[in-house]
Amino acid sequence: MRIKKIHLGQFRNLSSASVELGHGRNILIGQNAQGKSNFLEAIELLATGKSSRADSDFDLIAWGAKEMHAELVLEGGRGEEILSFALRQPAASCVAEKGGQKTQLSCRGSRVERTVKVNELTQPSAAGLIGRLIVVSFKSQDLNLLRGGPKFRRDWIDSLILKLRPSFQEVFSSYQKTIAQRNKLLKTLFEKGKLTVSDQDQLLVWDKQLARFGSRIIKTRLTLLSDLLPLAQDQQEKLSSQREHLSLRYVFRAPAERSASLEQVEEPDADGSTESPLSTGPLCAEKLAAMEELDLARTLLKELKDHRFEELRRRQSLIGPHRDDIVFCLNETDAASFASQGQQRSIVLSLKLAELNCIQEKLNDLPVLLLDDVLAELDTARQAQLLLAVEANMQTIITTTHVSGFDPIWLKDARIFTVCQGNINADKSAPASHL
Amino acid sequence: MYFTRPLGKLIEEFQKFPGVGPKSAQRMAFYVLDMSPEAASVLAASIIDAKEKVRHCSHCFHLSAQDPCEICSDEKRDKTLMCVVADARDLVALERTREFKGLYHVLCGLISPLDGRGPDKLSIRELLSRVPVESVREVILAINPTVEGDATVLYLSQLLKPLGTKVSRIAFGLPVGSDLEYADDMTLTRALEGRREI
Repeated sequence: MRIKKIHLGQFRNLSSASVELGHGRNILIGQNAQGKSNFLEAIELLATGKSSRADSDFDLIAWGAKEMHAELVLEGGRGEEILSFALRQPAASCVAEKGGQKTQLSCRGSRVERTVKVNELTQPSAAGLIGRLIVVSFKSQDLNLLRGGPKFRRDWIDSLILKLRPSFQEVFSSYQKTIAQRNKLLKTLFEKGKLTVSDQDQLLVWDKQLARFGSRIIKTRLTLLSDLLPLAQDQQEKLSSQREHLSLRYVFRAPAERSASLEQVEEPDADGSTESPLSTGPLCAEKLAAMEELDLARTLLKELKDHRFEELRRRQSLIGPHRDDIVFCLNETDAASFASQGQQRSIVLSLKLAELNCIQEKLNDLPVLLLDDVLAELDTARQAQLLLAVEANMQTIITTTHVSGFDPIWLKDARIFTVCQGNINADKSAPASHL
Repeated sequence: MYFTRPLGKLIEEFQKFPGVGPKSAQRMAFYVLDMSPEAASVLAASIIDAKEKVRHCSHCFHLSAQDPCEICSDEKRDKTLMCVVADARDLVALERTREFKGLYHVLCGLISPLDGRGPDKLSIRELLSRVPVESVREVILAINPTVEGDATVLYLSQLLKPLGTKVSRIAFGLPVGSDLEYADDMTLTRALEGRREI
C-alpha cells in the first residue's frame, strides 16, 4: 500500500501542507523543530486513530486555532481510500449558553469534537481507521522498547496485533472496560470493609471476565511473539555476524513471590529461576506458541483468587495482560541491563525489521515505513541491513536534518522535500545540494 | 432579551429531557404555546397520570398500571418458562415478536460497579425466590452481549444453576435479512462461535 497524498491543516505547527508522496523513498530535510516529526505523527494518527505522542487531542490543534484536519489518500489492495481525522473545539458561545458549571470546557485537556471519516463516511469512533493504512515506524524513542517501562513493550506488541487483526480492538476495549469495572468494585469493597458472600460472587464474575478477555490477549501476544522471534533472531544474527542470539521471556507480573505456573527451559541454571521468579525462562518460539488459551485463563483465575487480599488492599487489578512484560535477552542475559548501547540499538532494529517482515508475510502487502531521524544514527553496516530489508518498492518516508551520513543508495530515486517553519515543499533540485 | 418567566421555565424543563438541547427545548415549548387549551391539558394530565399510575409489577418488575401486570395475570401464559431482561424496553421488544409465551422478569439494569450498580440494586433476589416457587423449568437470559451484560449473565448463572433449573442465553449472530459482508467483525466472530450444526 502507498500514501498518494496528504493534506494537513492546523495540525500542530503545520498550518497548511499538501504533499504528494513518491512511490518509493521520500526524504524530508529540515532543521530541528520545523515540523518533520509532526508530519510523521499525522500519518500515524491516520493509521491508528491515536497519536503516538499527544496526551490529549487538544495538543494536536495548532496554537490559536479552533480546529485541525488531517486527510490522506491511500492506494492499496482495496483501491483508493480517503482517511480523514478532524478535531474541532466547541465554540465558546455555545459553552457559555450551557451555564456556569461548564465554562472550563475550552481549557486544555478538555473534550474536543472528533470527526473521523473513511471515504467520506463518518465512523463511530477513531477505531474505524485501524487496519487500513499499515505503518511501521522507527524513531529514536524506540530504544524505550528495551530501556523504558513495560508499557512501551506492551503497547508495541498490542499495536502490532491491531495492525494484523484490526477486529481485535474489541477485545482490548472489552478488557479495559472489565479492568475499570473491576477496579471500581475493588475500591468499593475495600471501603466497605467486610466481604459478604454476594460480594465474593460479584468479584468472581469480574475475575471470569478478566480471565476470558485477558487470556485471549495473552494468547494472541504469545502467538505473535512466536512468529516474530525467529525473524528477529535471524536479523540479530546477521547484524552481529552470528555472535548474538536473541531470545525473550514473557513475564507474568504477579505481586507476590510466586510465578505463573509455566516451565523453564531445560537449562538447569536458567536465570529466570533465580533472578526473577515471576517470569518464564527464556522461551523459544515453540514454547510460546504451545501455551493454550484455556490454560492461561485457568492460571489467571487461580492467580486472581490467590491475590484477592493484595488486590483489595491496593484497590487495583494486579494480574492480567495489562501488568505483563516482555524481557529481551541477548545470549541468555537480560538485554536491558547488560547489553551495550550499540547492542540495544541492534535489537531494536532487529525487532523493527522482524515487524516489517511479519506484516509483509501476513498481509501479503507492503506497509509504509516511517524513519524518524534514525537513519543518520545508524552506521553503514546497519544502514545496509535496513536497505536489504526494505524493498525498493516499499514506500518509505524518512526525516533527517542532513543527508551526509546516508548511504548514497538511499538518495537514488528518492523524492526530496524541505521542511521549514511548518511549510513542506518538494525540492526539485538534486539531493546532492544538501550534502 | 429573555423569555417571560412561564415560557422560560417550560423551556428549562424540556431541556432536562435526555437528548434535548436548548434549541429543541425551545421548539417544543413554542409548540405547546400553539396548542389548543384542551390539547395542552391532555398533555399535562397524561404526564401526571403516567407518573401516578405506572408502577413496577410486584412479580416481574415490568412497568404496568395494574399489579400484578397484564402478563403476570394472563392465565394463558406458560408459567414454566421465564425470560430475564435488563429493562422494560427489552421486554416490549420481545413481546412484539409474539413468539414468546412465557413469563418475564425485569432486572432493572445491569451490574456495573462504575455506575455504582451492584447486584443488590437489581431485582435479582426476587428472581431467585420466584424460580423455585413458580417451578420454572427454564430460565432464558435475554441480555445484551456487552461487558456489563456478560458479567450479569455470569453472576446470574452462578446463582441460578444450583437451583436445578435449565439456564440458557439467547443466541448472538447476524441480523436476519442482513448482508454478511457488512457485518462488523465482532458480530461475525460471535456468530462463528455460536454456529450450529444443521
